[in-house]
Amino acid sequence: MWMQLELQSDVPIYTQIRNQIIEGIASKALKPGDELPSIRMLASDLGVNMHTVNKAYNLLKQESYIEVHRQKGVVIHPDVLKREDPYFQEILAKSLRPLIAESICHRVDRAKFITLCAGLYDELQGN
Amino acid sequence: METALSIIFVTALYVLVTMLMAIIPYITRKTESFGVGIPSSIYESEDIKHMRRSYSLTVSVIGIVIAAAAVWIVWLSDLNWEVFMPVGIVAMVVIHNLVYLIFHFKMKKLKEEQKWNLSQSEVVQVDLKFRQHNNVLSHRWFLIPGLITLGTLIFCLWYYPEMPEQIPMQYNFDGEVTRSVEKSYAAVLWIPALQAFMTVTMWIVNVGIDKARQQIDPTNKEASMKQSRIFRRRWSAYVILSSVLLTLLFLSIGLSMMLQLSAQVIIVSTLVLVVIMVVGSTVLAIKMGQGGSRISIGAGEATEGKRPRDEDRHWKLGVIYFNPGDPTIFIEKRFGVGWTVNFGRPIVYVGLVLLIGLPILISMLVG
Repeated sequence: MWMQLELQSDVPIYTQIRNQIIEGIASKALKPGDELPSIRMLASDLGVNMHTVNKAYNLLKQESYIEVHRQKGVVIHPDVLKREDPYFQEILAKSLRPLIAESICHRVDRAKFITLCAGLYDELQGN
Repeated sequence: METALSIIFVTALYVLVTMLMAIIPYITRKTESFGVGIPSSIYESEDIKHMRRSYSLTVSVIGIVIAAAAVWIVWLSDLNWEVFMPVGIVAMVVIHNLVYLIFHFKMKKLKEEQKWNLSQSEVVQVDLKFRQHNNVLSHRWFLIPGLITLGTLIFCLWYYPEMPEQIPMQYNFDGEVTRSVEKSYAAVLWIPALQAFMTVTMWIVNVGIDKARQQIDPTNKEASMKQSRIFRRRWSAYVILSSVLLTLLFLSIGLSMMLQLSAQVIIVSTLVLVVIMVVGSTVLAIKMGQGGSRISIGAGEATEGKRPRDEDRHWKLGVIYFNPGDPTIFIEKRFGVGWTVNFGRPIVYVGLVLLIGLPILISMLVG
């Protein structure tokens, strides 16, 4: 699976790493139980500080996308696709709110917004 | 006899060093030119083509002049060529590097003026599964030179009582002993010690080739990744083969010194081995190019609008990588073929001290 960091982007590097691994899981490029490179190895390949990768991995671990084992190293959480988190929809609504507001200000109407979402959803799911 | 041979040797060596320097701009990655990062689309532009040509020409002319001067000096004077030759080589490398620096600064200026790549977005591309492949040959191959070393050690200890009282240490080109020392364990065991040192060094090189940072050209990531894997595996094979041949050579040196066989055998086999290794590495370097950039891979899809990260500020003079924030230890050279180290990592200095210190220590123990 390819990971690509945009160096001139406003999105911090650790967030980009986190987002791309989640995208990889969503598109099934990364399957439950798959190994990820160690913090040192990924930081070296990306040419970034180890703290940056550590921060991304810590976030992913807190959010139960990955597991860190002493022997197996870093792996995708085996149950990553089977979760039903009652709070997630709340979080989703919170993060969508400002985006919808911005869309209204930029005259992206309801239908356009939904089409866009549906397109991205299919793309990420690998359809 | 000696003069004629040494002149041939000096000339061959000088021509070789010059040739190796002259081809470098043609075998780097297309994203680099004289140690400066460029977009690969610019690599074939007239300006840069012209720079490559004039660099190679300059280096070749200087090389020929120095080689001619060296031959002339060796011919006319009583200079000990064994001392003179390394001095000449060092002088030559220094001058070639000065020429490089001139071109490096020219290139830097050109990049500042042209601002080629500011429209493209700067990205880092990494294959998350890259490390799950075998990118080098197994480290177990080093069991072979390891066993040769062990065999040499056993042989040295076994035959120690029967060895001559004077152990030869140095020969000239005619195979006469020019220096020998009194028999002692140090005078014998330096051979397996050096073999062990070389085996471990080569093994570390193999680890380095494996761990070296992924360097993917975002304009054609799939091809770039495949090239990199072939590049690593072939150099790994070269390193393993070299370690086997080198330990075998030292075994034969040990055998002939201690059993007082003909020294000509040592000289011939050393020369043959050096030729094999130099020719082998030159062929690999030219065929594959840096990072495998000259290996043709079925045309992958090219991506426009992206350029690799600009790391010029971490590359001092385009040759020394210094980036304390990057955990990378081994990284591809910019100007040349192969790898260098990140001088921003303290461990690198420990390694360098050992790499230089251990052989000196071994030779001091021999006396």
